[in-house]
Amino acid sequence: MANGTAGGTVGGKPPSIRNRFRRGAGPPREEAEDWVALGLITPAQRDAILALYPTAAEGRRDRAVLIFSILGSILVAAGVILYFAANWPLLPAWAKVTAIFSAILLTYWGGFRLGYSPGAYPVLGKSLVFLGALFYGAGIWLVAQIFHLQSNFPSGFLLWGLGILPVAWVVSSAPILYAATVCLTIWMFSELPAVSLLNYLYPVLLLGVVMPLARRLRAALAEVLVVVGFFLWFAASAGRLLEIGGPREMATGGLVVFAPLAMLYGVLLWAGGAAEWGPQRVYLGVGAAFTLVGCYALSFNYPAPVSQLLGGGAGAAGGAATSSSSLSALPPLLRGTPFLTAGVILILAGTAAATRLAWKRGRWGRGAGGWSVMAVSVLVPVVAALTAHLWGTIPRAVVFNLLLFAGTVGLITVGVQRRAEAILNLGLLSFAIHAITRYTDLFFRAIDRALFFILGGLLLLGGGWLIERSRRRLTKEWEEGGESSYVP
Amino acid sequence: MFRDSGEPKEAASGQAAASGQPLEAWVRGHLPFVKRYWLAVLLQLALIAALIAVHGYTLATGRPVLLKTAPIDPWDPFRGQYLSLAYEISRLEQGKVPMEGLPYRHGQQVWVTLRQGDTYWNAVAVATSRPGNKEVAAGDVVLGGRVQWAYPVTPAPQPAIQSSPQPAQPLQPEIMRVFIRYGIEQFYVPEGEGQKIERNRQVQLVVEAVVDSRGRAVLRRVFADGKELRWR
Repeated sequence: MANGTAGGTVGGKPPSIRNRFRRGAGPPREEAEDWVALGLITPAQRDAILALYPTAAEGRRDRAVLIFSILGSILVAAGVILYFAANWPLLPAWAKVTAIFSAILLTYWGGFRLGYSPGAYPVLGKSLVFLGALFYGAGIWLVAQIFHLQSNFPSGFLLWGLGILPVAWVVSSAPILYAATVCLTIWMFSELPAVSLLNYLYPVLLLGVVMPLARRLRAALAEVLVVVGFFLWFAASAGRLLEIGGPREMATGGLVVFAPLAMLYGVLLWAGGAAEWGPQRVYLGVGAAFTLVGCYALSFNYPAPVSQLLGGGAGAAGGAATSSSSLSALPPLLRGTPFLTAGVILILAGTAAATRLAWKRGRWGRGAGGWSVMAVSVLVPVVAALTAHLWGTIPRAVVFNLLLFAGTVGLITVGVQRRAEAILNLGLLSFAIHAITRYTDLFFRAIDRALFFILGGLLLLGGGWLIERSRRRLTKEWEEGGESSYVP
Repeated sequence: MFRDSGEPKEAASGQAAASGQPLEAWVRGHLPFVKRYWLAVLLQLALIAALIAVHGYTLATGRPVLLKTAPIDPWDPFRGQYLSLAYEISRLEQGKVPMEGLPYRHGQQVWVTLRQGDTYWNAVAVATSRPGNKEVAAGDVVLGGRVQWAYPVTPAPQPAIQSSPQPAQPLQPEIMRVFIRYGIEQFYVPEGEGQKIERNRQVQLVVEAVVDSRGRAVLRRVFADGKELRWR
């Protein structure tokens, strides 16, 4: 009886609970006592369950050691890079290359011995493997220095990211995966103007390699980097095709292209979160952030003459004119529109599929409510993009300020109702940024500069105190009442 | 040599196989942890070795060219100090050098044909596609580069030769001025040495680069007033 019930209960737990146990943040010691008292499990089963997880103190200690070891590794790597970069021109090239290879090999050897075989110091060993990944990156740049390769060296970041991904996979290291993702993203931005067509390798690497690895390692931050990186790639590519380069084009492009795109992408991520595509806290949190950032960009009262985009050409990056190839000879809007349209169609199709899946799973609220919210959320950015040139600047700013405010209040409400601290914090952050921005907009020119800063500082201090007090009160109540995971 | 006992828990738990990654499951099944670990490390060393090998190939097979420069002195925190070199062939103007495929855009790949002058090599043509062997004169070298920036300029008006009044000249058509990078713009020097060279603005720097058959250039030597810059 106890066996069957216990097995069913554990199997039915939502993923967020499993993750909390895995991270050692809250081993179910007290709960396990209750389960024994209720007759759900036997004392022997309780002991077996608890033996699977580190105690809270152990978990904290391990994390602290890991964090300090990784910080130490970064400092050592930075010191070694700077030391060699500044002092080693007197060595012959072969000696430098030998030093680079030796440093990489020795660090990985130390990491292997300490961390894995025999593995007497696993945390220190993992840090040494991380240091090895940093030394490898340093090695790429030092080789570039030895042979006078150009400092504008985007391929270096590609080599770095590609080289450390297999190590992240072999030793299941989330920090190395984060480093690889950041390297690949820097490479994507560095290569953006140089590639003749769009950089399709980056999204393939993100979705085909980094994402599966992030899932397997349960590295939520890597998944955040993937979804953010994918949007950055899409927006940057669209911007490049549309030749959105100069400040005027950026402002117009922000209103017509980037802000609505960010809102649509945010809605896709919400729907993905509700459909359990991945960790809900990642998809709901990042999705909400994208939507709010889009609203925020549209909440300023600057004009948006779309003719600046339609004219195109003059704003190309670096002040260059268009090239003569048949594709590039087209006006920017014609070149960019098919790519943009295809992307928007994919986003809308993904949103519809995820919403349907979420509805089927009962995650989106059965009935018209969920669908209505989704429909409005999709329509708002689409209408904003299509009619940006028709709106007056003031009406648009007013509407999107109201939407931003409503979204912020909605997030805070959901955070409070669901006792989800991350969602609540996101809502409070959005509220603070919105308030500071509008205060700056309204009063920077209207009142004396000294008074502006004094009042602003007082408002910040007072507002911060109020927000922090409310947040602490709420989180304390939740801790006393038992925190629940956020499930829409 | 090593016991294969150190596999991380996440990797050893069989989640890869369970999560439907057949390739990953196959690799795990056929390669023990110790081999996977050292293969991943060897891949890193191989990538760095490839970087060196490409450079060595160009040095071994390429043709040397002498280029005139004008230095400035930035500092790259990744790699210490270097001389930032701009060449006469870096800044080109339409009209002085024939340019095919104008206008160019930032980041565009271009191919510059170099011809040896009395001492230095000069640009004689720019194209957006690599010229074939038959299109290049004997002795010329084709060098690949990327457009850093390109913008139209109005040429300076020609000074009047006759004193008699002339009818107003029509506005001259704009020409393109192009700045091209070839990947040989940095020469690394010991800390402080770059500033010494920069302070002495009279010094004439000359670069000996090597260009291989694919149009890739590497720096071989830098001369300051005819003397090679060496620190060992």
